[in-house]
Amino acid sequence: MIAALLFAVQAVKTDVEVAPPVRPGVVTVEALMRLPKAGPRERAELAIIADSLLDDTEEYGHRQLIKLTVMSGDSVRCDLFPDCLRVRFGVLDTDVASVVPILANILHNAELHEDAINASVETLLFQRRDYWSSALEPEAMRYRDAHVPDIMALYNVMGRPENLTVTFAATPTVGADLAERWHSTIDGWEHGPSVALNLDRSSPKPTFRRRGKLTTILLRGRAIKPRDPAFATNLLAIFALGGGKDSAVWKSLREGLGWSYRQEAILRNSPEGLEPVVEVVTAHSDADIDRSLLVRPALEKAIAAWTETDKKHAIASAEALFNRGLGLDPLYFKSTRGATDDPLFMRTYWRFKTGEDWKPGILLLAMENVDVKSMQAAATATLEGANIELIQGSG
Amino acid sequence: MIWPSLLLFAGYQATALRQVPDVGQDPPRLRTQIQNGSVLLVEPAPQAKNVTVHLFAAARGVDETKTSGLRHLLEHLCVKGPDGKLDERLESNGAFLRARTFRDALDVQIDVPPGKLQIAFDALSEVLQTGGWTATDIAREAGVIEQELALQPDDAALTSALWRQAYGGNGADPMGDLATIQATTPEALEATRRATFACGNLVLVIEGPIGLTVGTKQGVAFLSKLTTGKSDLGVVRIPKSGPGRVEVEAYGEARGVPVPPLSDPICVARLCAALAIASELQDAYMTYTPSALNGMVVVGQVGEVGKLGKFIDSLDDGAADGLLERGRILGARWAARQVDSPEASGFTRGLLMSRNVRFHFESVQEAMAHVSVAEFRAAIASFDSSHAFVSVGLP
Repeated sequence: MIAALLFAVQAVKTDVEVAPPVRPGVVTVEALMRLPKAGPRERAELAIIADSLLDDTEEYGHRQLIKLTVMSGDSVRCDLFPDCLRVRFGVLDTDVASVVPILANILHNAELHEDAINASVETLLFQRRDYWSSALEPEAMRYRDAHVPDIMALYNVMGRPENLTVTFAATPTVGADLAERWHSTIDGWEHGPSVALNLDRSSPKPTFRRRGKLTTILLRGRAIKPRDPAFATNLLAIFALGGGKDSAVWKSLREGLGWSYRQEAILRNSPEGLEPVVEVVTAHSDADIDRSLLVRPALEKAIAAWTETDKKHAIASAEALFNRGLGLDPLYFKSTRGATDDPLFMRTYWRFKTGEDWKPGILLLAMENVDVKSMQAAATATLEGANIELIQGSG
Repeated sequence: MIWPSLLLFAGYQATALRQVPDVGQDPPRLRTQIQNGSVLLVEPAPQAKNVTVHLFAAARGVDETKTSGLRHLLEHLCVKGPDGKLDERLESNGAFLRARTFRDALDVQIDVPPGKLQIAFDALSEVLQTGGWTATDIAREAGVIEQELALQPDDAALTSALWRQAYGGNGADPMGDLATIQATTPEALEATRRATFACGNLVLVIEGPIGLTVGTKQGVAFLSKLTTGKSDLGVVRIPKSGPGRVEVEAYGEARGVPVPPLSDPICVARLCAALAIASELQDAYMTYTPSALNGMVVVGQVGEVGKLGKFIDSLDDGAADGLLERGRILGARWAARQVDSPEASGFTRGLLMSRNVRFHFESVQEAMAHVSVAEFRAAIASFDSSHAFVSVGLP
């Protein structure tokens, strides 16, 4: 039934899809802008773009954008992820004529005035990040090094049609009309040949301390390609490591070592693919360094003891999440949050990442065919290839 | 759509099964009072992917002005089951348990696949059979709670400070006081367990793809097996008058106004006002836990200090009038969200019923759309610094 409502419109170098409405009487837009390769300075510049993108566009000021979108329950927002910049908003059906102009203004006609950029730099310099986001994105950003011309160059690259993935969530007729109008709008854009950016080649400098009581310990594995044939095996290993209260991180770390409340194994988006990460959060203590050294051996011991029962539990956790929305979501495609509770984002992100539709049923079938030894090998490889990242709280 | 608000009432133990009415076309939900004092609510939701079962244990039996955190400790320990492996059994069957402690009640939620309601009853039986914890068990779990308390986000710290200002000991954070939890004796915990799980405190809610008659039969059978136990009336929370101000070890600011029960027009108007205020500022939020008792509506903003208070204090009657329509719509949408899915509906109705078994949520939805100009102006004014309780993060 739902499938019958869906259709894809593929224009040259542009990816647009129409999906069912998120809620009655509302048209919602999910748009992802692919990020170019970025060094530490460009990451800071991208954060500035994300912060100031909604400040002013050619036709809409910030207040107008809020006013037009707030009643939909999806106020306009912009989020920077490691591999894309996300724009999301909704409008009431009565304001549907504003959907394409708003989207075009944000993705292509943002003003990015020097004043707004300077204000963003000041905001971001003093922004307080929570322990979770500062652990997953530990680099100290160099906002003061940002250049206005570079910011405009980055924005122009990201806004090229071939870098955009857009989904209109609306009734089929309205959605088809929006898709057509979107294509006409893009056709009118002027964009010359793709230009190479002068990237900052220096190495990012991670933060090792943060204000507050919390210490985080991360084991960050090598990125997995979601189209790799072994993806299902790796995903099953992630569920066995961190999916629920019978998982390795829960039993070995929370119940076994007894000094953490939050411990997860997740797949997080990265420019190279999807990065497996084990994260443990603990109240800061003098034992931080010793504790960080205990995480890997404890998990390796648990993995070595996995049996069919652990595989069954991992499959059950995946089935409950994908088919019935239950349990812990390890798919952190919103950078610091699970994604499967937001079907519009999930379908758009998966298309952006793989060029394919999000079909969890097929993944589940593939996961069922994985044997315990392969699951163990995938989890072990994740841990072996991982560096320990410790960010200590100040107490 | 407003659901027809037909609630049928039956009240017997031995004869309860025969007294489930055959109404031809099922009403949307059915409330049944059991002779032992417990209450059952069944609400069929044929499209739901899970059957959600909540067991609410009202907090009225435990005076938390003296034992802050004992119900939270009880929650942690009882959901492990008698052998500590309850989660393992549930998750391997695609079922999940989640437990939370609120000021009004302790909630044990179990989601099971359709057709497997018995799994939830078996799990709840295990939860209710626990007890006999040792000092070692308590010390170990107090360590986990210490970690949990360290993870409290800034908004929770700001809100907790507002409750303490307005309600003193009766507004204590249900997460509890660590020193009290650490000093808990097995005898005190057992007394808390008995008081909390007395039949007169229990509300069982069953939501999902299950027939009204079948669900009621099974629910009545489960509750009827429990031994009779009385509960006292509990403490009545009476707020002090504002204004008040306190500095908190957190980042951000929040304003709170005490409110009467959710059924009261003053509470409804203040909720609409808070939502309208929050919609004006990026990353501002409104917090309110539905309650049949006096409570607290909070507007806050983390990540920035000063902006929220300045904005609220700038609002006059004219500005309030300009926000009224938005407040009504956002309020109606908030109310709709509280019951728009089986999970949400079960939680909201059960939590409200735990303190007022006849609470009628539909009247709240209706009232949101009809907040008057005068009520809304007064509600906006209640958040200004001369009336509201204020909590601000330390510089």
